[in-house]
Amino acid sequence: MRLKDNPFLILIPLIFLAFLSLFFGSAGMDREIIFKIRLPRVLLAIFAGGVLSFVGATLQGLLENPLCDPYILGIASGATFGISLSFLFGSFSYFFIPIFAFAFSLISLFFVYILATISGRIQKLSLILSGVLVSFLFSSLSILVMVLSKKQLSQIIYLIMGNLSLLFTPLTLWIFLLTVVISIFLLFLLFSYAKELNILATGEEQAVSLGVDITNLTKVVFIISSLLVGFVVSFVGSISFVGLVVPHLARLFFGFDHRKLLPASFLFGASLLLVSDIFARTIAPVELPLSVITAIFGVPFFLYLLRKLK
Amino acid sequence: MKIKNYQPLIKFLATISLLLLFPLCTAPPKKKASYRVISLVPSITEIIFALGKESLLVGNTVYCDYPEGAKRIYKVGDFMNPSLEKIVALKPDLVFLTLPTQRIIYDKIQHLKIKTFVSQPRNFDGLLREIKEIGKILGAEKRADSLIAEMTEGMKEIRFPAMRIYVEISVQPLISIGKNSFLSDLLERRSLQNIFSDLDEEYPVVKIEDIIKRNPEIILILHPQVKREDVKKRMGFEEIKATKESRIIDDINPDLLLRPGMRILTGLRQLRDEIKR
Amino acid sequence: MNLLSLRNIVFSYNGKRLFHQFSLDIPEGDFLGIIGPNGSGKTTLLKLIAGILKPSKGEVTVSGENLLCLRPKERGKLIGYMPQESHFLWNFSVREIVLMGRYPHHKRFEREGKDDFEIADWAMRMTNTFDLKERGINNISTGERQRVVLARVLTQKPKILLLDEVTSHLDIGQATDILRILQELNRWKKITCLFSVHDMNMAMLVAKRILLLSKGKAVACDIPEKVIQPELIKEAYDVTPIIGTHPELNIPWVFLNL
Repeated sequence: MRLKDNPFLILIPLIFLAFLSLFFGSAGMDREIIFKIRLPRVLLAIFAGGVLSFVGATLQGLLENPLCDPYILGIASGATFGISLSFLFGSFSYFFIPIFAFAFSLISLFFVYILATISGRIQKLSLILSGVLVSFLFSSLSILVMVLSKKQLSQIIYLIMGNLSLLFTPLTLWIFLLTVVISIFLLFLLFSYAKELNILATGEEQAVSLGVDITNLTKVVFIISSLLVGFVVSFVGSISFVGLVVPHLARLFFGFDHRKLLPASFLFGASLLLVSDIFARTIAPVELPLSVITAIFGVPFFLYLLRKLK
Repeated sequence: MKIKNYQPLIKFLATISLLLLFPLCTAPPKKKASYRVISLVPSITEIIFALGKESLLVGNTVYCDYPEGAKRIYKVGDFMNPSLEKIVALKPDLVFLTLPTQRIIYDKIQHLKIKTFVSQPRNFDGLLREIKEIGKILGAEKRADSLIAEMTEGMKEIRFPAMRIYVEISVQPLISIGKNSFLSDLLERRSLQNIFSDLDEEYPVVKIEDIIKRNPEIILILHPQVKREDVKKRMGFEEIKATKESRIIDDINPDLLLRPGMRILTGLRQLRDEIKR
Repeated sequence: MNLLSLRNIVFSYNGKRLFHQFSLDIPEGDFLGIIGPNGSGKTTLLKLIAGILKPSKGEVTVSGENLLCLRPKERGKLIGYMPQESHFLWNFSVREIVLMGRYPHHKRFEREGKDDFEIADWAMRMTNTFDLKERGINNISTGERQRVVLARVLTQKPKILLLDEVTSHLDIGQATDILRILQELNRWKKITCLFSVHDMNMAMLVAKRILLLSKGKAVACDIPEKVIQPELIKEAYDVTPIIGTHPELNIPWVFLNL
């Protein structure tokens, strides 16, 4: 079987990377550390990288814009605002931050939805514009809150860049696993719209004439994508680059059919984030911001593939 | 033209002039001092108060919250972005600041030929030297000498058991203290061993697995975001000696230990008492 | 009974009323050429039938059923629509594009089966695009792309085919190719065709009936000989043409004069 036909073959490198990630680290091969620290982290990397890339591919298809990333709908900025707001209440327990972030990503989703709905219909352009608008609003508010809460700039940068160094407690682990289960269900729902996303590439009017219910499609995909991005951002902050570039990477290998592209994006994204995380954890004695690593290693790789496969 | 048409214009002008009046309300108070200084560093503010020279202090930052009197001093902005305009308006003879954090404002002040004093105490001795210098500049040499003697004596009194300690400055990201930080020097001087003393950075972002591997006997939380109970619940932390022997300390005011100023002795004494308990 | 009927359609575009109480009947197997000046409502009429635009009053019925009451996929099985131009963001292969025409016939998770591939192959052979099937849709010429889109519409297996000025960006060779395909489909597969076109003579070559539109009103709708009359064309276009006869096909032919 050719690689081109079966995106699930990426599972092989992904599993390999997951094991590598489990056994690599400054603290050696302690059983305790592998199971309690690295295993949740590996799951987090697969979850975040996979979901961001999957949603990135979906939104690029839905909005017919190859420059879309999962954050274009303004969800991440809402979550960031939630996180920064939780800093303002100094005594606020750290373990509630994901919940706070998710609550605010829901609020920004609601804002975008209201803004983008024009006479009962959501249109692509108004969706993008509302997303950008809400994004600007919440980013500014976040900065404002951060200045008021006397946070150091380096901390703000870490917050914005995203990282996988979530401190798990048994409770957060359960919340996370529950989120993963819900996300798998939502991903499956999005995947069920793969054919519609394919047809959208032929233009909106032809899609309508073929029997695609565009209004419904836009609404459902927008809401599910937003929820998924809200989940990810709540746990790891906004990791950039992955959701934008991995779908293009997947297209280079598997073509444009969303039925192959979406799972391929998930697996590629998960792998890329695992690799980046291994580097972020081991390259220096201190932990490096993840987005920096994803971009530094992702960009040359992507350029190479682009030249080679074109 | 009808009179009516002028009304919105008049309203507009009235609003504008009211808005223009607003900054006047926040103009610096006219404080008379022979030698005028501004402190952009909370710890220096504390030292100036300790030297009894607060009458010379015409401005500080919103972060300068100790002692009580420091809050009433005119604020020129926050620690990261003090306002150049407000600083200049105060006509200071000397501005205290710290590098590299305040590099931008430092360059601007230099450019305006205002004298500066850069505070960078790398360790306890550096702090004592700074106190002496500030005392000399502000004309409180005797007070400075007695403060130094008091602190040197106080330091000698405080004794810790030789134990490994993990200090947490922030949880998102996870930040500890490295070799070159003031606090690390302070702790090591009193025979506590900082588990991250091999890292050069002042405040390094550390990895969870390293904390567990280095197995600290004391965990000191210096930020308000988590409590002792939260730390105990962290996965992988149950095996750490500090958790097992319940030596997780979360109720010391971070300013006591993180500000290289007069209150470090109080902080260290509190830490000692907490460890003994 | 008529296959397709428009009853008292009212439709406004950007606040301007385009159609008012517009009615039209199309019997099964009809081949209707729609002509008329720019802005007369040719494209709008086709989009109303295709379900892309919705009339504010009146109804479009197919075999007696209101179009708006049909599920989108059911409508997709009945009506195929081909626009003037198609742009493709993603460089799908020709075969993938053509297979998308099977969408209305499939359930949500149904994959393409043997039948679907056979229908797609038939449509590609019909439109002479079979040799292009592995090529990317953006790597072929405009004429080839229009034929691929036609193959996609044919794969849909619609009863009614709507074509909106599909020949306007093509040269005469490519244009007559498309028209010949349409004629064959109409003749042998009994597919009802409605196509709008700028060049009246193009319409005359294949159409059984001609609809002459002007400002949202049907000036005439009948066999070509009856519609192509100097006074009717003068009314719609405000030019007086010379009308002759095609030397071989014996159909009316419009000549222009300055």
